[in-house]
Amino acid sequence: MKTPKTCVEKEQIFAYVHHMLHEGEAGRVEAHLASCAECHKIAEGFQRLDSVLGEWKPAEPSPWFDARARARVAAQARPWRYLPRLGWRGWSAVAAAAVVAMVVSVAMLRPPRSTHGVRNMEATVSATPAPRKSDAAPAPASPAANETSEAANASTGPAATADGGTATVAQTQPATQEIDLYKNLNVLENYDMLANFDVLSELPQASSSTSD
Amino acid sequence: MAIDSDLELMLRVRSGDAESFEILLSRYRLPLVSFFVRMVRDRALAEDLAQEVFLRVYQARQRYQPEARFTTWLYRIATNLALNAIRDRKAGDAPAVDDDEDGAPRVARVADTRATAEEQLMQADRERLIREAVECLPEKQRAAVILHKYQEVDYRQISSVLGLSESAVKSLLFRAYENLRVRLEPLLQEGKI
Repeated sequence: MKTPKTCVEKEQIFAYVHHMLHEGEAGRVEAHLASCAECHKIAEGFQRLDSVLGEWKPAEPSPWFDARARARVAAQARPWRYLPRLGWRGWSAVAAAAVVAMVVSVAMLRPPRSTHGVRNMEATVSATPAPRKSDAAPAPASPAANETSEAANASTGPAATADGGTATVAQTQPATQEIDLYKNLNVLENYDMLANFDVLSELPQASSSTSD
Repeated sequence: MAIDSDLELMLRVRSGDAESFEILLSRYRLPLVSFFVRMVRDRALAEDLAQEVFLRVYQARQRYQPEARFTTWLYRIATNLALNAIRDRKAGDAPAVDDDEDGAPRVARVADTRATAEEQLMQADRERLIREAVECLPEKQRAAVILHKYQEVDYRQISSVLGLSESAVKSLLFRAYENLRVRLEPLLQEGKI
């Protein structure tokens, strides 16, 4: 039965068993295996090996696998990486708008120091009532408002501006301004209680020491 | 309701559909974890690498081109990661974590509830022999056998995954199976009885 001279190569038998041959080649090997016991045995050996290898079972993922995979993906999915491509002109416009917005918000949120300064002067330094036009400009939100405020400061007395007035009044003003600022803030309604905090409790001493 | 193909899912992932990514995750977590456990043996490392594959798929979703089969792309990423991990471990000379060395498999496997305790022990021993035989193969032979036998990847796809010609893959697989046949001769003889 065995005909060594016409036997197909072992690699061909392997390829036949694993369906890697074209139709014509597969038919030729199949016909040979039907007539050659030795080659048939080789083919059976490959089939048996395939079966034995199948005994190695797959490993199950751990219960937390999905959660970890999702977490890793979420950590990498940064939104800024997928922002639209605006080009340099688009991004320049965005940057300019951001700068304007920042300047406006800084101007709006800036504490109205000059106004408080005027009020302080009214309360502590000068017995003369301040002109009401200072109250008409509560915040330096615009250059015009600043000018108005400065004009009001100038009219209230020498301590309102750095270029005029006595040194005693000029030294006293910052401490009193600071105290009045905290007193006037809405969030610090109970000043006496909050004065127990370390920072605030030092303020009256500072004012007394400077007034001395 | 028709089952969405991997390609359709991936195209939806590309357009931002998170649900399609979840389907791909549930569809390929078991094959990928099994692939990596067989390739690197260390279970923790295997899960880490499988997660890395999903991460890379997600990261590359915008560049994904449906030219080849999704699994070809997936296993190309996985095989490169596995081969790099094997090389890194060799370079670092770190021993592989043997999941079965204490006799009680730490790797949760697809359970065969019908087998008795004795049969399970015998089965675990046979699996150990098979695993050791596969691990003795050179890297590319090991990758080719695992892809072909356990991941059921066609030899044409394997040629794309490994960057080899189809005839080279056939020869690679033949040499790998021949090596395994020699190493597993005792098990093959047992099977004949």
